[in-house]
Amino acid sequence: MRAAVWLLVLAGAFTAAPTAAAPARVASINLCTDALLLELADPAQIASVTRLSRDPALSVHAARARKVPANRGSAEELIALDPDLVLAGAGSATATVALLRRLGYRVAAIEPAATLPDVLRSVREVGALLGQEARAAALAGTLAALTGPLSVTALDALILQPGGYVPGPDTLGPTLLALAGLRNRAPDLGLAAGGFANLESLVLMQAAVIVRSADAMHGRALADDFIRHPALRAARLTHGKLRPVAVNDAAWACGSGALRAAVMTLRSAVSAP
Amino acid sequence: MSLRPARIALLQAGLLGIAFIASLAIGAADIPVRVLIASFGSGADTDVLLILREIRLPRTLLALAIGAGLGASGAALQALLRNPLAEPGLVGISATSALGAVLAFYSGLSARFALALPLGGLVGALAGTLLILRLTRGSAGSLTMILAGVILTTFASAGTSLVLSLAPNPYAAYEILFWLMGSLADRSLDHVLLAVPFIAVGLTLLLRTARELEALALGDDTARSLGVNVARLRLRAIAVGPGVAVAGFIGFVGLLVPHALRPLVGARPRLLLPQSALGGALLTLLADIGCRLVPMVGELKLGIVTALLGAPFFLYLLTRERRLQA
Amino acid sequence: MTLLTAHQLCIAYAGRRVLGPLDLALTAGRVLGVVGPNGAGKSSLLRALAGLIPATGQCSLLGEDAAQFDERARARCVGYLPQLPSVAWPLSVADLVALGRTPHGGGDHARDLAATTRAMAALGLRKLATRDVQTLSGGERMRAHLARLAAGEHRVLLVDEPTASLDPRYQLEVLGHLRQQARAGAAVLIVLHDLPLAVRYCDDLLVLDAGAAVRTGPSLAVLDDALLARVFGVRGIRATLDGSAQLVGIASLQPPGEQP
Repeated sequence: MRAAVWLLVLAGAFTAAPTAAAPARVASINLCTDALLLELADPAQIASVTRLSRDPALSVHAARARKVPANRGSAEELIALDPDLVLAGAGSATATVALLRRLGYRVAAIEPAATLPDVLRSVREVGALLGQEARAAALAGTLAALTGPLSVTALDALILQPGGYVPGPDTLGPTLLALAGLRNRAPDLGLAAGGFANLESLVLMQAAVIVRSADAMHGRALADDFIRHPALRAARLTHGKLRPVAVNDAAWACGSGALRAAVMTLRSAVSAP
Repeated sequence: MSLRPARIALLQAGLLGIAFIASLAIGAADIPVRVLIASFGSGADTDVLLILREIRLPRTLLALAIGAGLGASGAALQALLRNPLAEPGLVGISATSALGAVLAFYSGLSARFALALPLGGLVGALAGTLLILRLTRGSAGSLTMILAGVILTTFASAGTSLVLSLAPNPYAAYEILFWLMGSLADRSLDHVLLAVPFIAVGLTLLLRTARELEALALGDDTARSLGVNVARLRLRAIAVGPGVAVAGFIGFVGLLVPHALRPLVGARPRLLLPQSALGGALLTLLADIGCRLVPMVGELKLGIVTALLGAPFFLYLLTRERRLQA
Repeated sequence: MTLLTAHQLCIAYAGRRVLGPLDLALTAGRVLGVVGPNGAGKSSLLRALAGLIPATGQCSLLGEDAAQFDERARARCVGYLPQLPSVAWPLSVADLVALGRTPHGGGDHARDLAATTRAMAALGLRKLATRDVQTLSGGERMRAHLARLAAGEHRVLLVDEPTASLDPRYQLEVLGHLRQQARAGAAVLIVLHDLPLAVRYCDDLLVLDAGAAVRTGPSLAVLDDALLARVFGVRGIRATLDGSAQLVGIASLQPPGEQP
């Protein structure tokens, strides 16, 4: 009998199955799970989020993240925190996750989101883990409402990140464009799966809008020069195409509630003259 | 006075003209030649003309200017150091130029003051020149010179990696390949304006010293006794700095070109220097066209092409010299 | 007329005194030979006088303070030929000789050509004008370098061991040419190893030993047996030539009659 109890306790410790009581202290070691944690948990529940979330260039919740202890994602720090639940991104920091599990910590690996249904699923999953089902349902509802019909005419668009990178369907990029009522022209450049665009093909393309990363990055890099290239500027001036619209990458890089803000920003920027 | 140098110069100029046109015709977007030609006549500013003017032309001009600077500097360094293995890449001057440029760029200095970029390259080249002279003082041997070059390049490349790792922008760490292997991809007319005036001045100064370089045939001491300011001559090799600042480290051009031309036009600096400038421009432009033709995701780095050509040649030179010494 | 003087000349290297203090004067029309054992500082002296290495003390050229001369002016005045001169890349004899005109700036082509042609003729190089210097014999090569020196029309000539590695007849040829330059009005300083040759072709001698000037004076008088023994560790063999006793050979410091 006692063995069975121990077995159950152990099983509970080693699985990610939701427990009856909401976890008192939750730590997150992934930028995207940080966002979900910050959006859905009670402030008292948050034990720690990664340092990355304090950077406004990487997280829309930077201000909130600064009020919470930060971690660098190392097992040592997590052990010192002794959380009831650790949120991690599936597929990343696998060694850390394995170590934590071996030491008896409960780790939930959340799959990165690539579509809106993915986002809704993550939101609900984390909400359930945190015992915040109601909050999660509300957030999921606002996100699901994004798929309603739009009154804008569909424009051709392309997302260009620093260095000319076009995000593929493994990210929320195409979803962002679709939700804003824009037609993704990446396949025309042979970049249906994502990849680096070349400048010449961009100039020849008839896309109306370029969705570019907002200037949130500190310092300078060559990658920033791509979007500023005189060729794109000239194309805009002479043909009125390739109009740049800035959206904060951090808002849609992760499958979290912040996606809504990104979509709304994009919609209003596109419909503005 | 034989006509041969004149004929070689004309041949190079002719090939340059062809390469120039080819460079405008070749790019990431497959534009048929008739469309290219038509874009000139249409009068209206078409996309094709835009590509030619803003993307392919700057790249071509930079290849020509940077290549000319590298070729002439290589020939000059070989005369100055009296060593056939000398060239800006091998003696470490290109690597220190890259470090100077990287410091100017990632610190944000060049965002506030655009000229900081080529000036950073110049300062880096100057530091490299002074260091290599210090390290090889008194000894004109190849081994010392190559070792000194290796030391400088290693240190400067490590420094470049360090700066990129510490740079606040997260993309910086991925840009190491650009700085260490060089590329002319997506360079704009802004870059041309930043680098070409400096290179033009440096090249002019270098070509004008050809007469004094001639005296170096007799050794540093005799040249100095003939009134040649050898120290000032050596500093002229820093002309490569601004080129590195906008295109990264491109090696071996200064080694390959003078060696290829020496049997054809002789070893005298007065002839070899201008011919090497032409040859360097031609080689760099052809290499850059080659980069665009290799089918791959992204573009092949220019420094890789020149290294693939240059490293085997360097090995050949080294073994030949050792065989001669044995 | 004194063309070059050095007063209290000292050369130091890495904090160590290498040469000096010494005084010397070069007079137009005369040849000064500098002799001494290896390491005495002969080449350093030459390089200091040519302005190639730093030295303390006062130096005057053509009556003016040497420091007033810029590199070009000094180069026009003083010609220098190092030991075992070489050419770093293939050069024709004519081009090598023409290099001697570098200090003159290249503005006056006619004058440059005249000087170059004269120098080549004086050293019998006309037939070799288009030959690559590196393919010439030792004697011919030395003549080419001397022609380079001559083409510069310098008032002062500083020559370091021009007879090194040369066949005997070329040694005489070279020294004869330099003496002729002196007689034509230049002040010539030659560093030599061969003592009898030094006595024969130089008007005055300066003996250096371990960085110090041991003796200076007319060549016929300077190398007495005491000095030869002390500085060089040899004794002199003398013969009477042209009415005076001259040093014609050297022998080891053993009593005469024994095999050296």
